[in-house]
Amino acid sequence: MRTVLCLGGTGQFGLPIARHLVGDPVVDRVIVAGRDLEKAQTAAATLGPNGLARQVDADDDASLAAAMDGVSVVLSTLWSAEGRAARVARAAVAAGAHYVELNHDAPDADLDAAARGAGVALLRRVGASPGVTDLCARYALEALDEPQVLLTMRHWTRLLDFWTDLLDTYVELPGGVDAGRWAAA
Amino acid sequence: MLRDACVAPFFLTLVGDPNRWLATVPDLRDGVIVDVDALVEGLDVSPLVGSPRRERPLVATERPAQADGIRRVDATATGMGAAFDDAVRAGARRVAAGGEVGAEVAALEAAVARDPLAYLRPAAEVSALPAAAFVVLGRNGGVPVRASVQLPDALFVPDRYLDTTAAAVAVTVRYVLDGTVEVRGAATMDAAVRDMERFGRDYLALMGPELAGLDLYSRRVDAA
Repeated sequence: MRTVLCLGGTGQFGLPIARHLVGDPVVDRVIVAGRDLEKAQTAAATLGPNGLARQVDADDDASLAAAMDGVSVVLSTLWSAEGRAARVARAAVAAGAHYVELNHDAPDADLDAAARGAGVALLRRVGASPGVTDLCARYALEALDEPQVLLTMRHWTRLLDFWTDLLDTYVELPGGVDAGRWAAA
Repeated sequence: MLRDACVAPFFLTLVGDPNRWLATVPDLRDGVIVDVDALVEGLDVSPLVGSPRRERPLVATERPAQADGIRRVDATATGMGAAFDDAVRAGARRVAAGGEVGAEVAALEAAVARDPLAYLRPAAEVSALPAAAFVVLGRNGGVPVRASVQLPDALFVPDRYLDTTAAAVAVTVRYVLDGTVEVRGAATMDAAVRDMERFGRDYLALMGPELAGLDLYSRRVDAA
């Protein structure tokens, strides 16, 4: 049974990811996890029969361990992790589950070694940026036998407009910007 | 347009050598200021935007050296136009000749405030610029070449952005489950996902029919 546990699965990033995953043939179950069980149940109900809900407290090791039992992949979309990311990642490795997160957590050599020992992947910086943009940079580098300079160009004015519009979009969502944070997940 | 004019002063930090000036932003102060003129010498980026001059970045920092020896430079083009470039250059020359940096910055700020439209890129020109592009300079078979990868602007739409990230994450999770991702231990996405063509197809398949057939990366290699 290939199960993905989505921590922050009720949030603005977590739920769209869960919707993709629940329709993926390599995924058997998607568990939407959050501190608020009622919100998790509401979100999971939109996923169909393979969507489940679970109450999880990411600040509690026992709660994390119980939620990760039997899980194949732990996906974390928690924002403003403030140390939670490392806690959640450690719990995933201890549970023998692969770990995927959107955040840019600081490198942790011990955690890296533990993940290698457990035979699981510990993927950071996944998503559109920097994930996809990092892929693009590598793809450009691979085109040359002897790459010498990588120039990453961003057109500030275009991106300013984009991010401003995006922020406006977030604010208009129920709960505003805070709806994407852990507290709401 | 007015927003560009309002924030423009924050970009101004003149460097005394008129051949090495650049504007920078506080967030980038820790970086190494790059001589972009020298860096882009011989680089015709017109396939990206149609004009090397327009493409010349105004803000650039170099990341710390990595083991592979490849120089990595982050450049940001702003909404300021050629007149602004010329004014900054002129100011930098005066600073190099003994002028006072603060006075030059204040004078340029005042000039921009008096007539912002004169210093801004035309809106149509800005809208023609790609939001993000990656250019690599180097050699293939000993011949100088440049490679470019440009993300489609269709991804940079606010209504679509949540799914832009959601699709990338979902494909990555799928690859972890089906064994495509073979890496164990800590890794970033670019280290874990190796087959870009396949990733592009799988990614766009989740993005909906309106993006079907889109070239996600638009990679091209040209003689330098």
